[in-house]
Amino acid sequence: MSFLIPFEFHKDDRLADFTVVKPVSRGGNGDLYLVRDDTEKLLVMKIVRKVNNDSELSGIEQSRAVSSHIPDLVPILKTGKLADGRVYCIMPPADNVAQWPEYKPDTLAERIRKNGRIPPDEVLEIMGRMLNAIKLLHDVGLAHCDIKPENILFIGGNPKLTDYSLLSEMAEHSAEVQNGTAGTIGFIPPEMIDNPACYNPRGADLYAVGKILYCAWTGNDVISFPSVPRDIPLQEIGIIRPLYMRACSVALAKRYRNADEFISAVEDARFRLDHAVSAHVRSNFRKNLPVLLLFFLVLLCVIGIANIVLLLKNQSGKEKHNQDTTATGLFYAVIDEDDNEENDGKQTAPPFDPLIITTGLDVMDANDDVNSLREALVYAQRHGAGATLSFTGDFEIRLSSTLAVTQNVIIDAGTNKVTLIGPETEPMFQVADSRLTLKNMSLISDCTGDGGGILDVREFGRMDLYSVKDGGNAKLLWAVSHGFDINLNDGTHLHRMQVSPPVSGDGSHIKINAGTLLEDTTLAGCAGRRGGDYVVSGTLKNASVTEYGDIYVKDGGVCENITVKCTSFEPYMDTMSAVGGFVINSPGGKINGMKIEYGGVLGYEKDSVLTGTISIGGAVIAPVRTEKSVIDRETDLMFDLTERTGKNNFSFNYMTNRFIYYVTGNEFDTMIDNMKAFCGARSYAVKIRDDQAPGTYRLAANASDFSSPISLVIGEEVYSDVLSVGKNYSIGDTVYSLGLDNVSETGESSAIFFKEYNVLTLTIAARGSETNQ
Amino acid sequence: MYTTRKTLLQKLQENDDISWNEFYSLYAPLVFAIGRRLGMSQEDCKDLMQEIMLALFNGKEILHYDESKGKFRTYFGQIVCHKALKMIQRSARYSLSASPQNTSDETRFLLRNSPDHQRQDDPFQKIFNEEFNSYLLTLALNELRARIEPETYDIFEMVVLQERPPKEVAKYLGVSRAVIDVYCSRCRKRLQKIISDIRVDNPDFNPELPL
Repeated sequence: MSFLIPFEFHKDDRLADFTVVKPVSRGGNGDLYLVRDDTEKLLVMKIVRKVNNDSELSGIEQSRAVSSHIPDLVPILKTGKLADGRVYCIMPPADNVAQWPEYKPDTLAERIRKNGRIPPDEVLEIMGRMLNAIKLLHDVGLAHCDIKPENILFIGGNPKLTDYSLLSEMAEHSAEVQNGTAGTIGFIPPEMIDNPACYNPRGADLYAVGKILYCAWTGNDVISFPSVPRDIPLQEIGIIRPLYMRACSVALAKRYRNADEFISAVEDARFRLDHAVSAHVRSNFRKNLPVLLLFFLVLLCVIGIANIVLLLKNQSGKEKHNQDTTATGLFYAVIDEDDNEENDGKQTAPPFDPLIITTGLDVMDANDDVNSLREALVYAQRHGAGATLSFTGDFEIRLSSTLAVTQNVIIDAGTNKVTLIGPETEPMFQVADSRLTLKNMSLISDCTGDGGGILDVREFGRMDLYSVKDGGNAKLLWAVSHGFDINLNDGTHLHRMQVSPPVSGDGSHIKINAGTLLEDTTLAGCAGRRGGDYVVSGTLKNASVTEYGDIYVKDGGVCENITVKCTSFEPYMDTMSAVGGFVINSPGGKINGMKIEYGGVLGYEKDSVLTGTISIGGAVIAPVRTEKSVIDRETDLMFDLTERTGKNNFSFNYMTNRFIYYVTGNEFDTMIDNMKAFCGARSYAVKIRDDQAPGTYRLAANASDFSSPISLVIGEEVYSDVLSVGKNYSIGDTVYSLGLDNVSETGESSAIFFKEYNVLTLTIAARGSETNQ
Repeated sequence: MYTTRKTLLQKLQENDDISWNEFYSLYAPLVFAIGRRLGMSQEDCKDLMQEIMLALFNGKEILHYDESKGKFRTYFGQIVCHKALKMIQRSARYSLSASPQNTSDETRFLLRNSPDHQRQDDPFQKIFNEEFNSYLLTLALNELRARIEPETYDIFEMVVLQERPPKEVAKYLGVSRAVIDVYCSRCRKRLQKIISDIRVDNPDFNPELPL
């Protein structure tokens, strides 16, 4: 019982050039005394309790040199040897928290013991400074190796790191480091206690800071880690907790790799803390206290009543759906140990020895009951990426809440008939920054409203679906800050999917492979490098694209009833990956029925097929890369002017047939290059509104060979084949006439090729005024 | 670690220095809780602990517990009771009227009634059992904390033990509700297993937890 051993020196004893004022403390590697020098200045002397004094002196000399360059270390002012050869060092005293003549140094440990937890901003300030000191130590190849609250002193109110007795060269560890006794229990990484051979001084320092941060912020002893007092608000926990959880993570790979990373995280937390809503609210609260008091009194009454109502409502809801339906022994796993997306053949035999994962801490073992898909998924992900969850029979599983996917994982029903039924108010799966592959199953969701639906794939997420049927309701996919990838494979059939645009970054990428169907879907692209697209080799039905979204119809792909609406119209046909609402029909691709309401581009290549009604309202239709494209002669072509409110707003560049069209100003309302290709269309029509403004609308470029009659569609009324070039058609007091304007442009730049072409026009005028149009 | 089974006693006997320290760290919280319940000050609690340990270790640095004496828990309870009452009686002679801390109903009752450890309704035994069970629950939770990853345990603690709204926890900690459900379910299972292990030696240990 070492605390019973008396101090060796007492008041007025003479030690080297100093006089003992009083003993301070006994440590594991030395005793501390408050001493006075000949100028009556109070100092602290540490007498090192070590055997090899030469090596200790050298170590302390080294510490002295380092401390003179690092302001957040307690400086070592002098070193020397006592008469008996023991090494000592002299340091400034810490602030005194006792009443003189008592002396109790102000340490972080003392502050925690006396005051409990320390305000978070103060904790982050202290930790930031300590980390800076540690970073500088690490930068010169040293590590502290015994960081704990007792070793953080306050001198003049400033925190400083002390006790360098274990200061270690990275390359040649001290004896304590080598035999595993370096540091203090609770502040040493557990794996280093279990296996001293893997002691990593730098890592140990950062781990210890994590634990100190925890102790200071919670006021708890380190043994209580990671418990957080119940009165700390969640918002604050959300800011501070990630710092120590990462620093002290069981998984080594998750820890901070160096002090810089930790410093950066602390800075980020300080910023978040400063800007936390609560701080703002507190500040306003103080300013407007009287008014707010009255307001809160009223608010409390309202909330109280609302809570009672909600509580009663939730209570009944909970009773109904608080658990997934279970299916004991359903799952077994094939583990991909090296995460190379190929399983390693470690497969537990189904059916009743579920998910044996042999690596990592606290992962599944034979004692764990896996009795739901949810648990299997969590255990598999805990192990890491690459697990496959399989089923051993036919099951219908109803989920009570969303299944979160954070690691690459495959769920494969194989030949079993498996149906997953989603929760009532949440998506069935949420995939973020990882890849979920679903195979051979049915997904059903009756979820309605925002946030619901089967799939919720977030930024950087990817979902691969094989033979997955959704039962008719796969709605609402969305991305917060970055698009996601979804691949439909092998007979997958999804409905009612909504792809929202990410706030920034690239758009989403939906690949509809052969034999799959995506129906009733919308895709909103974004202004990123990749705007978002459908790549269709299967079937895309009733789909719409808005804002920078593209559709690429590949060989064998079929699009039916497609709508394009892009208000930000900026197509560059020569760079197909650029922005703009493209629909590209590749050789072998087929589009049946399409409406480009505004701002779209339809490009088609040789042997691609356009059928049904192609409705063009403010779009460019042009062959891509080939001079002659084959258009299905059964296609109807409609110039749709209903979205135009007056003269159009085109302004774009595009390239076709090796020519670049440079069109500026309000020239065209609909624009179709190579009109000749459409001249064999089954029918032509111009669609206008009942109240379409009088004027001349330019319908198509390069229309010189056009000679077919055109139908006029006004609202829902169809006047078949009533329009032809050079002739008028009257309805009531309004005269409609088709014409051809010759446009011959001259080049503005040698880099641009121009072409002479005729423009098909529609003029709408009041009877008697048509000559003025 | 969480029972007084032979394994712990053996462990205590194996290392003298550790046995004393480990005993202190294991049982000080229990003795302090009982002391506080009896209205003792922090300093009195320290003295009580000191006296109990001196009596148990009997001048040695190793605790030799003879299992023929019966369950350690009962034996330990008798020692705590005896030492606590002696301290209270000593203190009462000087400061019963002066110190309001020492005039709690429980203390007055204990001073008037000699303890009878054989009786189930013995008031001191009742206090000891309550505090011991509460202490076992603390040990069970500590055990759970040691067995589960920190990220899992603290979410369980916030949601189940502190009864914070799961939705809020999910929001501020950046995890999904599904993860919270699974973490809590996992901890519940583990804790139930730990508690059932403890109940083997302590059948009346039946903590009330929102499990």
